[in-house]
Amino acid sequence: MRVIGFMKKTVKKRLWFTLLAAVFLFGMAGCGGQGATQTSGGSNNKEKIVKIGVIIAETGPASTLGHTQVNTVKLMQKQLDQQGGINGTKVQLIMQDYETNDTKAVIAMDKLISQGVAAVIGATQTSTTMAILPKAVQANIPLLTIAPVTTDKENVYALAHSSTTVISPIVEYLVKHNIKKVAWMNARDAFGVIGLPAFKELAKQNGIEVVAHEEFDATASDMTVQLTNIRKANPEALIVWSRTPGAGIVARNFKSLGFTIPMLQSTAAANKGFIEQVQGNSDNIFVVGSKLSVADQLPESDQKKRLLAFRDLYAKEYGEEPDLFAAHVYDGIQLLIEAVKAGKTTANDIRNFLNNEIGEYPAVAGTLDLTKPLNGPKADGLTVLRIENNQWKYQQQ
Amino acid sequence: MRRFNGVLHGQLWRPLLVLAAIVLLLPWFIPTPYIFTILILIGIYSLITIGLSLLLGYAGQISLGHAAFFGIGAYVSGILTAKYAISPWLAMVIGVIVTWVISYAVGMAILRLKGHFLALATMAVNIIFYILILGLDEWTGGASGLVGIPGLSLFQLNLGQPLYFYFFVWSIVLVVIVFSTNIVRSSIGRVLRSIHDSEIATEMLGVNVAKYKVAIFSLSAVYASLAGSLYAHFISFIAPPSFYITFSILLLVMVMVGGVHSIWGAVLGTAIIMFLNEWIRYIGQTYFQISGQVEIVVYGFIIIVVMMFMPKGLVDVFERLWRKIASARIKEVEKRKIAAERGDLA
Repeated sequence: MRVIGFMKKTVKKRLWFTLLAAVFLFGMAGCGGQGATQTSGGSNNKEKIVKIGVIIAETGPASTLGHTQVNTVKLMQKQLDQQGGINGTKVQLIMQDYETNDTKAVIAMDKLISQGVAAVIGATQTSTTMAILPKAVQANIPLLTIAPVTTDKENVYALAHSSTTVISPIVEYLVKHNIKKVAWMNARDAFGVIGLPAFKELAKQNGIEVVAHEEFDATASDMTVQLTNIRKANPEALIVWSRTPGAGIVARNFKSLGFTIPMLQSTAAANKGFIEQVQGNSDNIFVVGSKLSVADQLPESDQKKRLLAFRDLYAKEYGEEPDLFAAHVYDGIQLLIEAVKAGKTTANDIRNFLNNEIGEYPAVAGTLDLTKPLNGPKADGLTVLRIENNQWKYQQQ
Repeated sequence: MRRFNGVLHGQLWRPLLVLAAIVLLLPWFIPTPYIFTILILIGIYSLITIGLSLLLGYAGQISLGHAAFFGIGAYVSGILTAKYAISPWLAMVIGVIVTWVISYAVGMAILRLKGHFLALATMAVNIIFYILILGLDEWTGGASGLVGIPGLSLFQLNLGQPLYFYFFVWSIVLVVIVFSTNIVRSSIGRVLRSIHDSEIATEMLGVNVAKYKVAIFSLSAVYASLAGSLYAHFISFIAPPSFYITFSILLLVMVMVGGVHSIWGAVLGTAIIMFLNEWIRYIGQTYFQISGQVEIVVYGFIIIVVMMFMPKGLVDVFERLWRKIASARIKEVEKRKIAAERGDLA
């Protein structure tokens, strides 16, 4: 009898526990809904607030690129808060982490639109940018892209270099060194696959031939098979289009297989992580990077001042150097601050301002010509870098 | 009328009516497109989890590869509409047929396996599909994804509008629920449950077990394919990472949390996991200043709690609660009866 009573008690207890858990869960679900609606109604304060959405991969595989971007957003918000408002207008940066998941980016985009943002900067990856682009176009909100995209939509402002722009310094290098036969290697991801078509076009114009093409999985940890295949074709240079860590692994395999030809890497390799990966094995490796990485080695110019201003600001806060991906976010925020300074606070006004009033804008990544907003920055912000003593080295052109 | 009664057997109309009422009433309380997007995604994912519930809960076969079937639907719809300008509805039907054929062929081969081996084989199917959509970039757009998938429209009604799309998706979910609960109640459902309990015993009864297993596997794949087509038209862009194993696992988590043994559990679990995701993010950002994939930790915790205390899922808690209320009511009625009889006697 006692045993039965005890059992009944435990069953009861269990039922209560599960009930509590269920109520807890539903409460949470309710909270989620409320949270979103609350923030959407909060813009009627006495101080005018301009909300700017930023969609970045803070976590997930693309966080290697998103990391400095997140830092930049936090840095800029801190600076904006310290300055107080701009002409009585407060700029609020609403950052959303999409966890390297396109569906989550679309949800984030909807969330931002619900919160009444005047413009959106994002996303870290090319494919994700394509996923949120239709939403931005539909909602008539200016989208400032920070990854290379190809689109013909209005309302989109490319802040990242197009593949053609990134490739032009490489082709210049090849022409200068009279290299006619090259091999091409790329990662099989959204960044990796966009390089070759652009290169082929420019190469054709300059009489350069692609004698071998190999692809590797973006998460692969050994590329010797592909490199061995490339050796058979006997190229005079190797071009690699991949993000890190893939980019660094290729470089290491390249060395261990005893290649002596120059290797040229993309902007995605122009970061600290890459230098750490190739430590000590950096001869013959060239990387197309932002002049930001070598700002102190540049000849005196306005551009040098501009780059140093951003670099020092960032380095002071985080003790590390910003990369090109951070620069894109920085440029986007600066452009929108310009708009707010000119008194433009709605999506429509900002669009008109960007389209008609800015014209040429000296951005950190390179000069932007906003009369052709889809072209992206010019190549004047890029250069072919070398590595010397584990530091980026600027080469006089 | 009798046939209608047959379809809405027993008390099915009750929960169905509740769900329909919730679906109809929710838009009045939700002003933001953000919540609409989540509700639509819950509807779309529910289609897959209902199928998984049939497969896992009733037939007892696991699948870690349903993201692949979701992907086949999405890519067939996407490619046919974006590249060949075929009507989205026709593309959806083609997607379903293609998925059915593929899943039938795959199912015949891998459903001979049991337990861990079946899980691994379905996982392999998912990986193969992932590599294929990456590699066949002429059609699928490869890693850059497939752009320009048009929205749906139904009799001049633009389903690109979140509200219309929401009603559209959820009416499909309701139909699928009615269909699935009827399968469960039919002789097929009984065979499936007996396979779940003992495959050998079922075979001894002279039932062609393989046929039933493959059929239910294909049906759940077809549901996933339908969901994939809807997803493609809703998001209007698809890329390979959305169809990786991680998504298959998330779907399983949804089914587990809701309750494997019930169609309703699948819908409940999907809704809870989706809202939980947003809620954890909101709380994490506003109160703890943390961002990132905190929900993964919370998912883990929830699965442990559910497995320990509610092995039949959350839906079981509701069912028990309902039964308790019902039995209390019956007792009340009986008491009154007894009291009345006594009164008569007196």
